[in-house]
Amino acid sequence: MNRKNTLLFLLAVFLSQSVNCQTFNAGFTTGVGFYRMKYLKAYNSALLNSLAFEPQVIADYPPFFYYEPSLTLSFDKFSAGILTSYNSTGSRISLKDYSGEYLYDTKIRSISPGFYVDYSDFDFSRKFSLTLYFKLGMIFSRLETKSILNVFDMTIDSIETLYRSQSFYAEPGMRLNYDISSLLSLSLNLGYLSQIGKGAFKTKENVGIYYYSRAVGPDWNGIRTGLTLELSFLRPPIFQKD
Amino acid sequence: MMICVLIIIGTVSCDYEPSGIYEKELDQNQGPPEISIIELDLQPENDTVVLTYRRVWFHFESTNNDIRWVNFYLDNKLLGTVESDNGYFDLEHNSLTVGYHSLKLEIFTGSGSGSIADSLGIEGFFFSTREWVIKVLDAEFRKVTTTVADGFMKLRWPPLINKSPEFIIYRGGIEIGRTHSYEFTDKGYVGQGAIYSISYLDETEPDKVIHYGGVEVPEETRIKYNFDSDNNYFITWEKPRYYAAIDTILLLGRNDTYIKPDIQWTTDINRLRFEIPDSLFGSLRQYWMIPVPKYPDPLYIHSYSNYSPLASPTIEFKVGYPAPAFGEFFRVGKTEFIYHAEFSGLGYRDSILRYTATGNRIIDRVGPKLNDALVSGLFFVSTSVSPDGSLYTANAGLTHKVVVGSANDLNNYKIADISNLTNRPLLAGMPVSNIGTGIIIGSDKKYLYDFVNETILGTVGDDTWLSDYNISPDGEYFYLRLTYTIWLYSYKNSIITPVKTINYFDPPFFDYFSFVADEAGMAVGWDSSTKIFYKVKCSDMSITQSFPVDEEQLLEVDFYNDQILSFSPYLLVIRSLTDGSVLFEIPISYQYIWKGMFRLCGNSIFHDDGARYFLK
Repeated sequence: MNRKNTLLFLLAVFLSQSVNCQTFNAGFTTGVGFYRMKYLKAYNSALLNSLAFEPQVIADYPPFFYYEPSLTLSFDKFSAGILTSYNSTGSRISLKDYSGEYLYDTKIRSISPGFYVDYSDFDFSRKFSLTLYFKLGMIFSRLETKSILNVFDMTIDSIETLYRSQSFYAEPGMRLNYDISSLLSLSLNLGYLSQIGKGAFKTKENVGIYYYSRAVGPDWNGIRTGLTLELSFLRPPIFQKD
Repeated sequence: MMICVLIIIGTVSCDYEPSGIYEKELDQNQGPPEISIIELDLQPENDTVVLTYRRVWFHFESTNNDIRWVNFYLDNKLLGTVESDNGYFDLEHNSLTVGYHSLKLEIFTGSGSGSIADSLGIEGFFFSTREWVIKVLDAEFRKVTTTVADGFMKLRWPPLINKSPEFIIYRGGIEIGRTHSYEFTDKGYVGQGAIYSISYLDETEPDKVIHYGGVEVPEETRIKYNFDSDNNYFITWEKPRYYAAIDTILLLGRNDTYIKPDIQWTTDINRLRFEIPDSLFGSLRQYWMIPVPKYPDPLYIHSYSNYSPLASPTIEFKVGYPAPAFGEFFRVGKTEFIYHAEFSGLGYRDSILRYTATGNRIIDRVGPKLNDALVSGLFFVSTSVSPDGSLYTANAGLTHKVVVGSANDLNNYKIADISNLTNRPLLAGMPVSNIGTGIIIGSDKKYLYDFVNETILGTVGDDTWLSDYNISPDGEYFYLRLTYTIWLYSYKNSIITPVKTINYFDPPFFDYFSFVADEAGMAVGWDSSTKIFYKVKCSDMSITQSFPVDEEQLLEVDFYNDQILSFSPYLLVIRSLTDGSVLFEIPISYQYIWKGMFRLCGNSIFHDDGARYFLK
């Protein structure tokens, strides 16, 4: 299933449940994602050891911002909806000296559509409440690699490759909510994403990346922290029961 | 939904982008390393190497930077590359033909800067070895090669394909070891030369031994005689290549084949010489070296003989500084002498040579025009030279002719016919004075003869054989001697007059008698019974000076340097002619010597067999 069809499917499910909800919420979350990227980091180490010269890893899949728009429907104490998350990170191996330069860049991005459910029955005060949530969805990853080797103004090597992969994820977490008004709320999120399935990288020509004979895929596992801004709308009359 | 899409589009621009560069500061001005040869199976010291088709082993070392590869160039074309600082390269039939070729090696090292280019082998230093001329022999590819490893002989051979049998190593046909590897260290080899053979056991038929290859190694143990002008004599050798296999180095020497050799020895491998005592001056010595193995073969038998398989070739030499070997010897000044070369097979002493002791070289020579003296008719034998070194006489051959020439220019001579005076086939020596007068032993009498004008000045005596005779430098006196009687004559105003008869029973008797070379009318003599040396006036034989000379024999009086040479068993003595005081004492190994064996010139003693001792 590709991203487009997945999004359409989620939208269809969302709309089908909208007739039963009390409020309709549109939210946007942004924050910092921490990405384990175990196999890609191991691949970088192996690449370092294989080179005749001694570059350094300048960046090794550092934490970076993610962005997650969502549409949810609230039903009494729980909510459900759909969302799509955008994550990116990358790495760089570099060495430059008087005789030339070596650069190996990777950029990995993912779009992760999924379902969202939460349960909220933990009110601390009129304004503050705690919500437990759970996300489940797919991860569509894209990896771009670029390798350049220049020696004395000669380009010895220049290769760019594009890989793709698919996998699933699950993310439990919690949100600390603050109701700014009856329509607007702000939440602090903390969750842990677990990637389900390796999702080995492949090019269009079905060529993969291997580390000690093991196919390498993304590893989006890690903590997600963020800030959510959510607009709530009462269910429109068209959707009200008779 | 639209809001979501817009948000997504807006956030795509916030993609992660890697940034930053790791820049390394390096010193690109690295100097070239020094390359040293650990092993090179091409005899680096030789210009031309004779090879069969075989493997050439190499191992180079660089001071700073890695050696990346070694190129082999044959006739200036790249033959192959080995990407290592050590290994081997095969010279095979398909790569070079029989005959002469040039071979050169090229070594590439890293630059040492540590840069990307250096790491990739794009930057570095090239070194060329010297160029060898190799002569390739038409023979089978020699599989077995030899090298020196840690001071031992090491054999190596290429592995068998798909087989790992047990190899048997033979030296001289005797098994010395077995191995499953492709190399063998022979700890029993000390450089004596050997023929190695490698065989292996057939894996399917254990009793079957298959010959694999072999190699012949030449003998390397060599010794050399060295000397200097300080009368230092020694035997030297190069440090043995197989030093780790040697326990002791024996040096054996002797005078005579039939006597037991004397032995010097050392366990210090870095010692490369043994001294020969200068008391052996003049001795004919033989020496050989035997390296005693530290790990002898089971069948090894220790022996001091020069026929031992471990013995070096025997060298034989006269102990002393090299000098001409001479028969007759005539002083012609402080530092020069004229001599007759010894019989050399070309004829009977048929060359006269003039030698300078200060220059250690021959400065003039005269001899027959043809190599064969019998054909040329010129013998230049029975030479005499005037005391001032200006004239010489010699036997001109079988035709009763005499050569009369200038001692300063030996080839400036004339031939005088004296057949009317003598019919002897070989003329006896004809002593000549500074004015060209001299003595000819004729058929029936003795003639006083003017060699320059070819006229007879007078006669004396009869045909009695004489033991000695001579004429004074000025020609005014001459003597005839018959062992225990000396007849002294004067020649003045064309008249020969007897002066005195010196008789053994009328002391003092002069066992040694000679006219003084640089003082007219004077002579010297020495009485062996009283050991007294006399200086006398020829006119009346009155004694003007005397002093003791205590040795057994008086050999020579050197009037040019005022020295007397005398001998006692095992000792040569140099005394002052002025007062007889001892100037030098030189121990020698002779108990008896013969007349003319040792002569003085240029402050040195010359041995007639071709050795010189400097008086210092």
